[in-house]
Amino acid sequence: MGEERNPPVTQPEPASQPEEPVRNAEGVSTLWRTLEPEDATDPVPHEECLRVTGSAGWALVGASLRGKSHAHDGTYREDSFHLTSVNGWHVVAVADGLGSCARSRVGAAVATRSAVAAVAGILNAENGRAWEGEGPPEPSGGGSAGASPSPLRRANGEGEAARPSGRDAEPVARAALQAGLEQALVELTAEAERRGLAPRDLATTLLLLLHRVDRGSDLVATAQVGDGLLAAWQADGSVRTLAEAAQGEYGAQVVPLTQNGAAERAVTQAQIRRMEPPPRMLLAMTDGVADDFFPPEQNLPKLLEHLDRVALRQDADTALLDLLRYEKRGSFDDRTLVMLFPGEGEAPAEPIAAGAAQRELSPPVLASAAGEGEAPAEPIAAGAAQRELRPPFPASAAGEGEAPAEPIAAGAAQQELRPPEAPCVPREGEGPPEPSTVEAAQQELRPPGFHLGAQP
Amino acid sequence: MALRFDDSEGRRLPVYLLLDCSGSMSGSPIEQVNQGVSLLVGELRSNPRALETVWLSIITFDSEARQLMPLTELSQFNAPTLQAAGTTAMGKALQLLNDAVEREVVANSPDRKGDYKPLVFLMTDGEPTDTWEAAAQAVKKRTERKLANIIAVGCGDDVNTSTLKQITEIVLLMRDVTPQAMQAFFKWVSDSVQLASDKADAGAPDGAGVQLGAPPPGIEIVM
Repeated sequence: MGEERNPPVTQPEPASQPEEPVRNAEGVSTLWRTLEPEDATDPVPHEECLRVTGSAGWALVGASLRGKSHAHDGTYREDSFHLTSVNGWHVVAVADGLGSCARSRVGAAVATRSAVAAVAGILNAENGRAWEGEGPPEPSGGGSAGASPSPLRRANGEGEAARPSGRDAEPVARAALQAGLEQALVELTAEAERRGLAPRDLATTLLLLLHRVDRGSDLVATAQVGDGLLAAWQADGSVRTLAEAAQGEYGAQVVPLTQNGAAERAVTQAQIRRMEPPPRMLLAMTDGVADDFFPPEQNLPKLLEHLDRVALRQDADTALLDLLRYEKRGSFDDRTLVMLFPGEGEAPAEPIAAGAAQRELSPPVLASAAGEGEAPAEPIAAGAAQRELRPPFPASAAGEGEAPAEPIAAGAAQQELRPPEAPCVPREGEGPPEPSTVEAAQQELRPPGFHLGAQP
Repeated sequence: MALRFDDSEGRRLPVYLLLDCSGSMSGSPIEQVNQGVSLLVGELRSNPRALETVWLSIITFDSEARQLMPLTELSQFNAPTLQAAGTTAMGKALQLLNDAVEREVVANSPDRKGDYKPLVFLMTDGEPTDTWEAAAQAVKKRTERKLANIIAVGCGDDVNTSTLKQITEIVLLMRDVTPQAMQAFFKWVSDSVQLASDKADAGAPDGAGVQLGAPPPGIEIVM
């Protein structure tokens, strides 16, 4: 009705035109900044990576990278990971501190550290008991990066024989997962209390993965709280998800470890399976990576192709870190990925694992490496291959791709590469909410703003 | 060697603006809306998170309703110049919104991470002049099923907030439609969208709601 076309009042300025160069060809913004946090409390290194030599020729390689979003805001990385090899078991924990929770970076670090320590404790104790009356365990070289040093046993071959028959690894794995989740929650709660915070302020996801070469097959045990992904790259080339994460219709809804019943539920839903033939690779990652390759069955192979090459390298850890710097539009979360892979023996199709890669002080012990795997391994001079942090990798040598590299049986010896372990600490509240997470949609009135639909 | 991704693979944060362009908005108000939309687009473009995730659509209503701009990525978005005339076909606009969300927004499925939950801002200065109840109900059902976050803002004295309450729980009121209040409102929309895009790629605890910026001066929350 009122057809009055009014003359523009103030600034007639119509609309802004798009000026181009704010995005590159991949749709990624060119406006990202990289800022150092001003907050000096609970610092977390922006990136870290680590390679641990496991048993039975397996290697564990992990890397974690601060996301563009935290770099842009000058805040700390909130992802964390921890890994160790103990008594023939490989133990991995990754965690993603929830963005909206003040000290979630502390929560993630505490959760991974305490979970791995508790799991290692169980695995040690269990093996110790098993050995009683069975004769002394076969001594083997190596140490453990984990909290509890103990004789490292071969997971198969002679180590296997030394294991008392009838003692199944499955219940041990289950108990270890349970202990890991419970201890993580206990320590996280204690940490919150120490700081006068609510556990919620340390909210984090927690994904645990245990692996062992056991009686000719690969035992894989997993438990997951919150989002992220645990997966296996199977011998036939397919990808198999090893735990289930719930998901809403739009976007993800994250259930943190601190939420009532979350840890118990994860224990109940823990999955323990034997894989035969051995998987080509086992993976644990936070959603910062997982979401970029969803659904994993279909899209993870794109990443695996690259990981396969990374695994060949002596500097697999730094190579993994570099790989995680990929650019993807809309992907600006922290990224953390841990990969486990057999270096030798088993999958003939699969070329090989990188050499040892221990750091500077490789314990002399490990030269004992009589052959960590089935295959008559090339015994190795542990000392040899290691050294420099990042040997300029002769592209040809190990054959970036196809050519199976010389298996190098690294002894045990794991070493932390990077900033050993991020003593994490707090940061003030940050984060806005997740657009899609509106489950209970609303509730807490956050001070500066307010929550949708909060209806006191 | 580096991993490469297609531009189109990212998840989107859809934002719908439903703007009342009825005759009563003519003059200063519609000009302020035009400026507000420009300001909004400009601000969002300067935030890399928003730039990579936000897709914007404008639905206007007067005697008719139309989707003036389909869901468009920020860098391609040309803000139209709105003109005010006619009545207030809000019901049709809500119906259009429903259809657009249905058609344009990708839901999560086992095969794909869908878009983030759409944010909808509805601005009106009057009573609907068409039948709107059914469409409002459909829209409200969407919020109840957590498929969208809808914020309605009523402008001026003629607006009936209880009508808006039947569309969404979140109703704001701008009593005096001044240029300052209008500008503050669009700034606030920008802040709220940026908050959502900041969070777009990070986790939030289950049960956390969408967070909006603090309502600006001159705009109150209708409980």
